[in-house]
Formats: sequence, C-alpha cells, structure tokens
Amino acid sequence: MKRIWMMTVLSIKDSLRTKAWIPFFIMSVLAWFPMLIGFGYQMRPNSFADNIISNYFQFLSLGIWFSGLILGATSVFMERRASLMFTLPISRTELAVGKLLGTQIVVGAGLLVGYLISLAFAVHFGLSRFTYSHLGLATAFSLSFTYICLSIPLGFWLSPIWTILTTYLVIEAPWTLQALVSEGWITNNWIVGLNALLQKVAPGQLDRVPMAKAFYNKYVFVGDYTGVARNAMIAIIVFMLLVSLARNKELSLKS
Amino acid sequence: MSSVLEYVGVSRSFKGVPALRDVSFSVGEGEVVGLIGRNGAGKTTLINIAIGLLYPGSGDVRVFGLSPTGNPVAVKARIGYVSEEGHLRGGRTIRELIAFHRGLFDVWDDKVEREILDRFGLSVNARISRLSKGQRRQVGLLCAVCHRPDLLLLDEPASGLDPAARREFLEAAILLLNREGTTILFSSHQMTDVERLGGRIVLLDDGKVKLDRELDRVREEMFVAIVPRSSVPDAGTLEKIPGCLRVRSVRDEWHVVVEGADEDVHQRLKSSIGHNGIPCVRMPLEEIFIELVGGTRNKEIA
Repeated sequence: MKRIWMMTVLSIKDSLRTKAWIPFFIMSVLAWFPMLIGFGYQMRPNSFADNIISNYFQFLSLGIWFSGLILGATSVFMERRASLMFTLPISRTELAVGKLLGTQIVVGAGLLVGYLISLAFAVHFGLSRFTYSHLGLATAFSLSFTYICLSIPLGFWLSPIWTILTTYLVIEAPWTLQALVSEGWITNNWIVGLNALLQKVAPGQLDRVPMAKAFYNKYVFVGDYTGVARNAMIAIIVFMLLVSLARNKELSLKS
Repeated sequence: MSSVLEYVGVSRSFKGVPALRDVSFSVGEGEVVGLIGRNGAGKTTLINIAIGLLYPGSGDVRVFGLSPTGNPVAVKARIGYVSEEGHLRGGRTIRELIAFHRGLFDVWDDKVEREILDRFGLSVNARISRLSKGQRRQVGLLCAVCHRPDLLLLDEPASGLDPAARREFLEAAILLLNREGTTILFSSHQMTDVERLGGRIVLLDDGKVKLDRELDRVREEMFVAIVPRSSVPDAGTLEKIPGCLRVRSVRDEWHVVVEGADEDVHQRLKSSIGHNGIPCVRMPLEEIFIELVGGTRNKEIA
C-alpha cells in the first residue's frame, strides 16, 4: 500500500506539471462562447439558462477528459522511456494502480472545480434544482475514469498517440454504433446483436444525457446511478485485465 | 562464497541480431566485478537482464537465488542501480527524489545520505533539471546506495564525465561500498575505472565471455609477445602456444597475448617459435584490452 501511495503522490505531482492540460485550457476558453452567446455580454438571465450552463459544464468536462486521456496515455510511456522506475522495487500492478489513482484524483478534482463553477453560475442565474446535475457530475466522473482505466495500462505496450487512438476507439466506437442503431440507420440483425452485446460489456457505454443536460430541472431516481456504477465496474475489470497481461511481459523500454 | 548473481548459458537477440551468446559466469558475495568490452559487446544487456529490465532469450539468471523477472520486487529491493543515461525519477528536487526513494525501500541510511550530500556539496533543495551531468550521477549514486543494497549494478556509471568528476564519483563509490562489503557488478570501457574499482574482470566480446580473471592476475600473468612475420609466417603456429588467448596481425608483426607465469611464458614461446629474443612484455590493462578485442590494424587500413 505504501508503494501505491508513493506512486499516487508522484503521479499527482507529474499530472500537475505537464502540458497535458492544454486541451482543458482551450476548452475552458471555448466554454465561454455558449455563455456569451446565451446570456449576452451583459450576462442577463433568461429562460434558457439551464441549457446554456449545461453546455458550459459539458465543455469543461470534455476538456478535462481529453487532458485525462493524455495524462493516462503518457504516464506509463514516460516511465518506459526513462526505464528507471522499472529498476525500483515496485511491481507493475502497483505502478499502474498508483498512476490510476493519482490521475483520477487530479482529473476528478478538475471536474469538481468545473462543476462548482457551473453551479455558481446556475445559482447566479436563478436556477434552483440541482439533483440532476449530481447525476451529470457522476456521469462525467465515470467516463473520465473509464478513459484513464484504459489508457494507463495500454501505455505498457503502446506509444501515447496509439494509446489515445485505441482508447478513444474502444470507448467511442460502440457508443457511435449505438447512436446509429437507435436512430434506425443500421438495421442489420447481426450488427444490432453485436451492438446489444457491446452496450453490456464495453467500457464507457452509459447514458451521457445527464452530463449534457446537467442543470435541467429533472427528477433523478436512485436507479439512474446504476449505469454509472456499472460502467465504473467494467472499467476496473478492463484495467485489471490489461495490467495482468502486462505483468509478466518484457517491456519495450526505448520507444 | 555464495553466489549473489549467476548467469547460466544466457543468450539474447534483438531483431535477430545476437547481443549475448551463451554467457555464463557468477558473482560471489562481496565481489567487485568489472564488465568490460567494446561498445555493443553486450554489457548493458547483461546488466539489464540482471535487474529484470530485459528477459533472457535462453538460459537462466539468478539474483540472490531468485529470478529477477519472476520475483521482481523482492530482487529489486536488494539491488542498487545507476544507469548510463543518468535518468532520475521521483521528484523535482533532490529532497523530493530522496523522499520518493525512501518510501519505496524498507531501509534507508540517513548517515550515508548525509555523507554523499556533504561529499559532493549537493543541496537537497536543488532542482533536478538544473543539475549537471556529474551531479545527476552523484544523486543517482545516492539513490542507489542509501537503502544498503546487497548488490550494486553500475552501468557505465562514469561515462561522459570529465576526469575530475569521474574520479570523484568512483572514489565515492569505492569508499561507500568497500566499507559495506557490497557485491558490485559494473560495466565500463574505461580501463582506468576498472583499475580503480579493482576486483575481477569479465571481458565481453561480440556477446561472449572472452576472459574472466582476477584483475591482479591479468596484471601479473598477461604478456604480449611481438613476433615478426618473417620468423613465423602462419598465425596457426602461434595460436597453438599453450595459454595463447589471441593472435592479432599488426602490419608486419603478430601480437600474441599469452597467459602464464613470467618464466613459463618465455619458455613456451621459445619452444613454439624455436628461438629466443622475442620481445614479450607485461602491458597496461588498456593495452591488453586492445590486444584482446581490438581489430586487425592491417585490415582496418586496407
């Protein structure tokens, strides 16, 4: 546990010192466009405040996801390049778990800050019910966790660019397929069956509407959190599987 | 003397190119072994296999009787490692780096830490990114020895350093390690480093062990005879001399490396060549190294 904690702390420090936050800063700037378009430069309240602030939150979340994905994709690769970490008494499992925790803490903190800023705007513009936004935040947490759970162990094999592409494809391809099937654009039985299976087992397949409409005045039931929890569980299983595959393999140290 | 590190028939290739061929030798407890050889001889590969960074293609490696890939944490907890690249991971400043390493090991010797910091005049607040190459190696040494390792692996630890920094580094290593009786395997192609650290040498050439001797024995019992081609036209005759390690063609001469006691070597040369008067001298280690692994100068010129 001590070694995992040392790795977590190092990972937090590394995460805060990299340029991986550039996508987040870009999205933070872009997030002001829906705000300015929606509320005007004088920032006057209007009846679309829930939609505008939800968009703002979604922009921030996307920025944090991308940053989290870059952080995850570069973390193990960086160690492979320096190779020194693999000469120290820390197992690959401890290394990956420490990096997962460290990166998730930083990304989670970023999401929380983004949520609190959005919440402050929501209060300022007169919105009063925020139960749905809690589900939106949980959805954002779960998705970012999925991205990190995949990208960190993939770093044992792949370069950052391939890790990012693979992670993105594994999570987004089934999600896109689901969108196409649900819109009726794909009707082939075999593909529809595959889609049904992927929705059950592939990581990152959860309802993303709560994040897109986080500050809408909607009711939430406890059961709505099931998808969030199930996705997190799948992400953990995939993470463990990938780490166990990397445990006894010679690493390519100088990529 | 029990064996701390043991290579048994280790071979390893990279993309079909052999880097190590059937390497076997062991390092006993408290021994200091210098791994020497030309660039690309397989020194770093051997050290990387010992620490589990690389896996042997065939053969077996045992460190403290364990497989470094099967029991990585247990093995690495008892090893100190300083790399040629001088990478340092674990913090932005020396203080953070020490804290990180201290957290990974069960034992940490504050006295040794203080001693190294004082000896090299390092400040714990110094930023790693602003350290010179020599200082990075010094910090690397600090991280490698403060947990009192039973085996220290130094992969070309002083390469790229200026002579003064080189001497400072090696003297510190000797001082710290001789005192503790730590087993050391270090690689180098600098014979002065090897002579300074002492002990035993294992000479690698083209991935194979060419020589495995005590350093004192190399100094005392290695001779180079310079035989004119006019007196012995065929190298085969010289290769048959008992104790002959290599015959090298240099212009119109043969350079013959022969191992044995002083009187004995002269006698063997005389009986093989048939006459006296062949210059046969002890050479500095560097010259012996060149004679053993150097190319044929005639061919190079051609």
